[in-house]
Amino acid sequence: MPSVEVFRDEELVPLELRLPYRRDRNYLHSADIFQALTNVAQDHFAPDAYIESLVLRRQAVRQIRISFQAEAQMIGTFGIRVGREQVRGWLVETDAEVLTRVPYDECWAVAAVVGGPGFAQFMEPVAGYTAFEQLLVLMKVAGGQGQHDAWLCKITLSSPLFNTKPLAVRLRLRALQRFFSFEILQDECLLGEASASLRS
Amino acid sequence: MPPITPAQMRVFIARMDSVIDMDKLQDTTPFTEAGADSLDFFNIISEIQTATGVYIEDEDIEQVNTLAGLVAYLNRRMM
Repeated sequence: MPSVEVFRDEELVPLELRLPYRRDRNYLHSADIFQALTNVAQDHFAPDAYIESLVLRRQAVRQIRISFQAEAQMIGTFGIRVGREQVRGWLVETDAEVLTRVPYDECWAVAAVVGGPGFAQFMEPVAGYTAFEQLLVLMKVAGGQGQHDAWLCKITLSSPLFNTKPLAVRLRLRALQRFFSFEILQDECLLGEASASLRS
Repeated sequence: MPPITPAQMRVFIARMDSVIDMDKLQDTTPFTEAGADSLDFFNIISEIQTATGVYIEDEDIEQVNTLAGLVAYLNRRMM
């Protein structure tokens, strides 16, 4: 298997993403961004590579370019874990319009949530939703913002987010009247942390 | 526990994933003037809580908008 250095030399080129809007949103959904980055990580670096961190400083209303060089006008950053190495990247909003829209309904996942403000969990993985999508639903419920717009601004993971076991989140911190921070739990183990922001 | 110094806090913040221009951030420079956005400010609050156990209340935010203010606040709270 080629070394990480070989991957790094050959694959650290910018990549243009082509993502859709979801339902009535006019910004790119973090779940689509996360999945696209996961695909890049596994296609370009290693099959078991995963997204260790993702920071979104604002919502993207146009397409995104992945860059592996520091970009001053970035809207976010990410880290890919490849074995013992981490590859750092930047997300840049381009001039390309988002031309497609896909249906998306969280209601089935919301209906499966057990808990409420402070702590929320699924008793089993919810079919039809990725683990990341389920995580976002849990964050909205645990943050007490189920009926309000909220968007993920940061996530850090100590291991990949699999959909094989149910997830839970615990509210850890609420600050500045718009940010919420959660612990991510799976199988009673701390998997990472995620933060969300209320749309201002 | 010895008091925290602005130099220590500068190192702490410099290690965070932020858009703060550390060259512009002097002890009395408001974080926003050094390029910090609201997410950076939240991350500082969050990381400080994790590291020290001190939670910065929303009504105290104005006291901690500089390195010097943040350090003074923490040292008072940890006495």
